[in-house]
Amino acid sequence: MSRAASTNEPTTDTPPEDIAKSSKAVGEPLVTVENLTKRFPIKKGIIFQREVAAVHAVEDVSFAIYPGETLGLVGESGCGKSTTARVLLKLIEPTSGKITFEGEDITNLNKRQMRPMRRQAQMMFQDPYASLNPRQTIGQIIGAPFRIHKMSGEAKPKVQELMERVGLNPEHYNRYAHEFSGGQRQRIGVARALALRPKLIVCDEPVSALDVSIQAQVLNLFEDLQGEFGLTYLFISHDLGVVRHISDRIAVMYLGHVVEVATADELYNNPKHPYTAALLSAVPKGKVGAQVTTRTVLTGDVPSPVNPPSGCPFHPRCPKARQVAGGEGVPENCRDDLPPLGEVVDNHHAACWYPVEETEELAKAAHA
Amino acid sequence: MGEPILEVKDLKVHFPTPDGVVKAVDGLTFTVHRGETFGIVGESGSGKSVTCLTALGLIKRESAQISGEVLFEGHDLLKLSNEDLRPIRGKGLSMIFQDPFACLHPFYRVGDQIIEAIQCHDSCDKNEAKNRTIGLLDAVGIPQPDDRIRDYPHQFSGGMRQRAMIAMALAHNPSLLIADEPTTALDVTVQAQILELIDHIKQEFNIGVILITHDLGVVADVAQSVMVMYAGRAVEYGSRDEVFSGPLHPYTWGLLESIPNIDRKGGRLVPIEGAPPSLIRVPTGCAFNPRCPHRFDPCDKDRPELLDRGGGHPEACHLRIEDKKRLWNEREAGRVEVAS
Amino acid sequence: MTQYLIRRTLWSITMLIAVTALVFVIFFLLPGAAGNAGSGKYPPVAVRIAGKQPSPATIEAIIDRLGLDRPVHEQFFSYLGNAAQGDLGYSYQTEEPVTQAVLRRLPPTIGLALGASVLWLLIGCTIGVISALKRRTVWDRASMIGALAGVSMPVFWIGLMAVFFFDSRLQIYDTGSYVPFTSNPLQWLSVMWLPWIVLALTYAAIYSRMVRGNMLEVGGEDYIRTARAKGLTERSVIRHQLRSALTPVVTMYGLDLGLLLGGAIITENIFNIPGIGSYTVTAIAQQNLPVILGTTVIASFFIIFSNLIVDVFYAILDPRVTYS
Repeated sequence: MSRAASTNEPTTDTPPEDIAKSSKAVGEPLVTVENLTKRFPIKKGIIFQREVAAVHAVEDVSFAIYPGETLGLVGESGCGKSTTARVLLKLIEPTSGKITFEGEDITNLNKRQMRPMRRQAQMMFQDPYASLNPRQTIGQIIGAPFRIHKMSGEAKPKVQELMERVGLNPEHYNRYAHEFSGGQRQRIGVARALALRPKLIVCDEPVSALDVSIQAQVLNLFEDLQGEFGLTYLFISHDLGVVRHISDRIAVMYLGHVVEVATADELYNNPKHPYTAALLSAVPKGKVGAQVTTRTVLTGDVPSPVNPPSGCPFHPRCPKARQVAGGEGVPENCRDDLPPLGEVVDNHHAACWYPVEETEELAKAAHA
Repeated sequence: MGEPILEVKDLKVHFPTPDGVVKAVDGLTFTVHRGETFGIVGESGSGKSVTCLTALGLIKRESAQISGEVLFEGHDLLKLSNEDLRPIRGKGLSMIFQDPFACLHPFYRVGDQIIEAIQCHDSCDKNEAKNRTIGLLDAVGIPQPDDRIRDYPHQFSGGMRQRAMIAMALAHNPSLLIADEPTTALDVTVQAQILELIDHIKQEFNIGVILITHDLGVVADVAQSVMVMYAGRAVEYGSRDEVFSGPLHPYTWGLLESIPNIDRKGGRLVPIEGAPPSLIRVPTGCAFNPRCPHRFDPCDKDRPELLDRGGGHPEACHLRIEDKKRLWNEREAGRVEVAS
Repeated sequence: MTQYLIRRTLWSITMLIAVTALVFVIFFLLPGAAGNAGSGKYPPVAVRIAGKQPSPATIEAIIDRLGLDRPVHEQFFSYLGNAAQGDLGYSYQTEEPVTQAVLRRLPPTIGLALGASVLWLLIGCTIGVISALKRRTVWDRASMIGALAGVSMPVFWIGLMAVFFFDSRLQIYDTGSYVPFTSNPLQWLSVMWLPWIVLALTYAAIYSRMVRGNMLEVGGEDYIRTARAKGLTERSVIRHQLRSALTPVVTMYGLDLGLLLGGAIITENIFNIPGIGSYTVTAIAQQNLPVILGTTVIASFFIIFSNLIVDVFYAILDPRVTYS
């Protein structure tokens, strides 16, 4: 089984900090993950449970994020982008791989040892309704990090300053979360994340639940805060327009693998991986007059991460592989060997044996 | 465009609540034709879903005050009793919903739910209904339909469930299909598949489609007519080309400018200030006036009617048509400049 | 599925052993417990059995006969070994085999629990469904006020009131004249109807509230809207709604029934029904360890077994649940 073997040896020779650098990549990276893998075991047995299979959530993922940069992580539901973020913050333990934060290896730190790092890295979630405690006033919610990390001094002025900064009325200090609209709740989430002046904020679909007009307000807030506090973002979204707007650099995930990394403009103008190309062509353009290009509509569904395909995870649905093979199945290396995340053109990495040419139009994928 | 199949005239749907009357839909008029996809765009609470649920009689009549007319195949749907409406639901007029994960009964097999939909309008035996179900599932692109018919909904992926919903909606060759946010819960590649399927069905059976969505991109891609709604009223209404290449209402402008563009990095987004109003206390005059950067004297006093003020299609804004054209051109120019 | 059942059965046995051990601990080890001699010379239970002003010899003979002087763990394991063979020991008081006594007292308890449960299921589900369908009507409000009253009234109070009213006042009920079903079905029925109603009232109130809540919740589900949108008759829509709303009732019913099969202590005592519950109460008053243990094991068995049945049933009712 070439697949099993492939996970033991790194699939790329490029060190994570050199994968598709953006213009902001100066100095040392803030966070690096190397060959990160997370598998959730599926157990079976009468008394002694043995592992019979595993959900391959994250498979050998490597990337780095530089200070002040925004790395976008895109992919469809179940591709492992949220798991990657949670493993990176060690909210769940990785199965293997290495995580470095500010040069320090945090992979094997325990809960107590993680505390200083927790202040530096915050997480924001999608649902502005579920992530706020309904029994607390927003003053308590935003002030909670001060209490948890036993900061001295009066919290209230600091909290009110934060509220003002994220566009909330500081007089609403004693109100409860349900008295706020979705957009304002997400602002509360931002203020809470900012309270300890973290370096990294991991945003998991932070604007997906908001109406477009409100979404734009929150995205602008993210941009302003980045400039003001020198924040670094890992920005997860399924909305390709939003990710392009906010990110300096984008990594595309499919079935647990990072299949392509490039700067935002490069990735959107010149996608190299057939999956990225299909993803981009699937987005409604929202423009009249834009010539209706033959859209690459992928057929079938994403395979199960419990039993992922051999070789390249995308090969059963890949239109390019079919083109290369001339309509008869797929090439052997696509089927058998996992392609490494290699530099295809300058500063643009993709994990594909037959990267898409710049002018190439992909036909409709054949049935899987 | 074919003959009109659905005519909505001055529809009002008000819900009395202890806090006041929620004016979910407040005077809405539009027409859907055979062979067209009619896009209704708006943010949450704009009244787009309530409009369609009311047409199908899925809003409890005792909980709402409903007035106006909804004409479909010679009937005013609002005047029909629940019993008289039943033969129309799912037959001439069918509907699919946003969340395919929640729309199929989790305890019944997918096939049985479609068979049930067939048998409740046609008296045919179970075997014939089953064969028709297999044919429908095949038509909407579900592989191995004769096996999958025995599956439960949880064994289907999101896209497959939406396909099954579409199959169910097509069971009686409806003349109008209402799709309420049919792809919002789905991934983009699956969204593309479903939109393509709906478009294909529309052409093949020459039916009308109402596509309710908050995604302007989706509407621009597949709709022929567009109605933009805000706080229970239409603010702009025209063909897709008219609305997207020469939008005339500041709310439409705001929506267009709020969307991050996938084709270019773009500069700063221009969001609409503030938040949508409470439907209990809709601002007087134009409902959008507190958020509108171009408001002037009459905006908070007179409610602008939906009229063609010389711009080629109806809109509801007090600005003079020359000012509208100038302002939109300026905003467009400003946007492009920042972007380059 | 087979594997799941085997695992669950093994767990059940472990649980039963743990429960037995707990009762042993309470009986022998806790300070002041009946089997614990503590600072006194003899365990209180031996003194009790020996009667008024016993000689030390009598007490010691009793201790010897009951084996109270053996180490606790030895008593425990010999008990377990016997229990595995169906021998639950002998009553300290009457020297009757506990297994036999429990089996004798099981039918009244089963009769009481089953009868009452059918009653509350019928009443609770009917009221709940009708209230949900006629929401905010006079019927709905009246039955929910009734349900609130039913939930609030304690069983012992309802029971005593019922005895007072039907027995002492109206004299249409004769408390304490229990006969087995097999000897006289009609008289059995004439004795059981009142305890059934008393026991069922509280449960019926809880069930009607639960069913109403479930019905309303399911009524708001998207798939019920789909059912209407595809043109189903209101009857069929309600059928869809019932299918989801009543499934959790099966779980609840199984657990409640399991609990009651271990003895409806209050009801059995009020109506003088010779079931497991009244047997347990007497045994506790007499610090009769083998009986306490026996009834506890039986009660635990019913609870654990009903849990298992409920889980298996759930997998049949809800296709999303699988045990693999």
